[in-house]
Amino acid sequence: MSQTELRYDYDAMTDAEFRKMVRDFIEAECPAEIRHLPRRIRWREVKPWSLKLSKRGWIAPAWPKEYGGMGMSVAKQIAFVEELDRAGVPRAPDMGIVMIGPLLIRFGTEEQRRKYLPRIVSCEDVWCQGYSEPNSGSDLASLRTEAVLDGDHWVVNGQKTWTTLAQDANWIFMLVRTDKGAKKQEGISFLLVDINTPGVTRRPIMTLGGHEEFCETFFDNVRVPKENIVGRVNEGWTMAKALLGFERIFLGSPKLSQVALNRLALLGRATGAFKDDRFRDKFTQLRLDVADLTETYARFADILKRGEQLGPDVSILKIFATATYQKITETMVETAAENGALDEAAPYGNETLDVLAHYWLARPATIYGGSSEVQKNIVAKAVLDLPG
Amino acid sequence: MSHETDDTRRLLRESAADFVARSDIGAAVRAWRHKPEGFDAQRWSEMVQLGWVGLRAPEEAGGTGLGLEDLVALLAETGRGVGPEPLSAVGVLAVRTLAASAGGAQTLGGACEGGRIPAVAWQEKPGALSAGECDTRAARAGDDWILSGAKDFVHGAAQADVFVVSARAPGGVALFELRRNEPGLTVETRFFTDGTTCHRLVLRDVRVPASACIAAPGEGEEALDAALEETRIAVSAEMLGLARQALEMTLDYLRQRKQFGKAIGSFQALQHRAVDLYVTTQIMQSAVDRAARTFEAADARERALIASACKARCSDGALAIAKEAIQLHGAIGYTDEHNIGLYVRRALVLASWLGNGAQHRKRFAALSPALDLV
Repeated sequence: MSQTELRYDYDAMTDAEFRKMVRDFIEAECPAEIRHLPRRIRWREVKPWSLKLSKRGWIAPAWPKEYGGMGMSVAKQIAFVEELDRAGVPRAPDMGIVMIGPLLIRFGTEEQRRKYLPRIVSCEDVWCQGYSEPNSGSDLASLRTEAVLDGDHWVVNGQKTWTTLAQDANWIFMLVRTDKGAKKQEGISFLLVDINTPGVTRRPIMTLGGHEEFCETFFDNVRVPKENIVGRVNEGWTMAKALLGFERIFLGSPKLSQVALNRLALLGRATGAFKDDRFRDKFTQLRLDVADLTETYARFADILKRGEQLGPDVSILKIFATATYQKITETMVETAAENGALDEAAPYGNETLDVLAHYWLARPATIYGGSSEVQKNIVAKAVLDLPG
Repeated sequence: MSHETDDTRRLLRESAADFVARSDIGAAVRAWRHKPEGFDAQRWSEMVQLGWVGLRAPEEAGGTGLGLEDLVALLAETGRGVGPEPLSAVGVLAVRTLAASAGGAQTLGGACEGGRIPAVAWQEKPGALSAGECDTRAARAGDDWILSGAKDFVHGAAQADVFVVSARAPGGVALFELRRNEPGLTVETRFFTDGTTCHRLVLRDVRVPASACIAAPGEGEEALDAALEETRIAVSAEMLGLARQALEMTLDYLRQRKQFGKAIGSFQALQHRAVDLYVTTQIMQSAVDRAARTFEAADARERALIASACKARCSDGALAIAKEAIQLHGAIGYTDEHNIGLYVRRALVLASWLGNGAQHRKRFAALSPALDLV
């Protein structure tokens, strides 16, 4: 376990004290050039900052203290994330911290915890998530990448895709099919794979935004030690689903919309668009959307803060948050006129603004983490009780 | 939130839900629509007994002295019943205007215990949003006042025995109490599309004594504006209730109605539209919650911003759900005999009352510099 410099009882602090402590640290330690970036940050750029967080004992706010986390209440975790968001602190490749760590803490063996968790906390290991496949997106449970037991090893064959920042990772956790005969959700296992094992190849994919944000990841007779399975064989799907908690609300955070609205306001002032009634009405509508989104987010966050579970209705948060975000960036493109077709930032007053960077960043929001259409299918059946 | 306030709101919700469930919604509305009497006096007196009419009046004035968050909890439930009783017009607009007026105590007490029904006549032109838009005049004649002018779009006055009328005097806008049968006062009745009454008042040299002036020139405007802002939030809560009910009726229909051999609610195209409406109700709820929580501690400018944000959201949301409810019901949704139409009509009336979505977005933008982000 990496030793932290400071051991606070965070829950004993008032909300204001806690937030001030976090804010002061960010102001002192997080460099301006990596803040408020309209793209996913790469590991080499963010690593120095992640190491500072690690050294401080703040890399895994949601984990229990015994595993190197901050061991604090959900209310404090939410406050922590809000302070990072407010300061525009980038989201590092954090799949180890938000996904595999909590999974191992809950379902892993003591040996697995001892092996993997300290290396996540120390930032030695960077994890990526291997879920989606070329033919298994919204219908994830139809995945076909296969693991067959051969002596002491699983032999993995198949292909994953949209593996976010796989090129920056040295480990991948993945869902693999271990029983082709079972019902599709029931033949899936959860496997940990060293990405440098022979037979694993990664091909970065360029997005419309011009960044290599994710990869296709190929598995060709990759031999993975038998003990790298998490939980019981064929129970991977249930475990992956059980992990959805804070992540479900995270995808509905108003942060991206708030940042984009601020940029739209800059654009409105610099171009004189605020003098135009049509723009004012549109801007006001978006502004009220963001205000009501923020209130709705707080309502769901309160459920978690009370220690209760989120229901399937939390899907509406992601639906509304991402639709709002997209509308704001579309209005930015419209307001920017020709600058809205430029592949670079344009000057506005004393600032510059890359309008399309925001537009591109918003496009996949309604696709990743369960597309809006899939979220609507869930709400229709699980909340509105409409027939199948 | 303390357990006590938690319990208060739960009880309010339960008794309101019980009130709505006890009667046949369609019959309760149809029995009184397009009738000058407007609503069932028996049901009104029950609302008085339950403490709903005086909910926002201070206890010393005979009211219940509860807060705005309690009020919206009540109205979001009664709103489901789309009844014609003027809870917002009397219980909020009139009660809050009287409570803010130096001379309003007597009528306020009467309203709370049920002996009086006051209605506020402030508006003159369609689209007016503030008490200052007032051309009705009040002139001194010895100790008396003489009032001349016209008021329109008076809600909830079917059984009003007293009108609270705003008029511009040399020192600013003042408020006066006028009996319904005051000489020189003509009361014309029209109807809104939901069948509730819309009154127009014509004042031809109406002479009233000094005691009829309940808020002095200059003081009436502030009292009335504050009550108007709060009523916008109340009406928004009613719209939240009617929108939820209209959605539930629509969902029931989608589950039951069969075409092509299956329930039409199994079609994804319709499921997604239903979810869009559900999202709208959730966002409306957020707007009402936020307004009710922040309003009372805010200053006048902030109150206008809060009320505009809330009324814009709920007016547009209620109208969107109403028109989709018709479409999703198909042809039966376009008939007057189906209850869904009662919700569409009420949505149209409440959305326009005290300013629709476009008006409130415009006011919000005008009151709030672009830099000052929410």
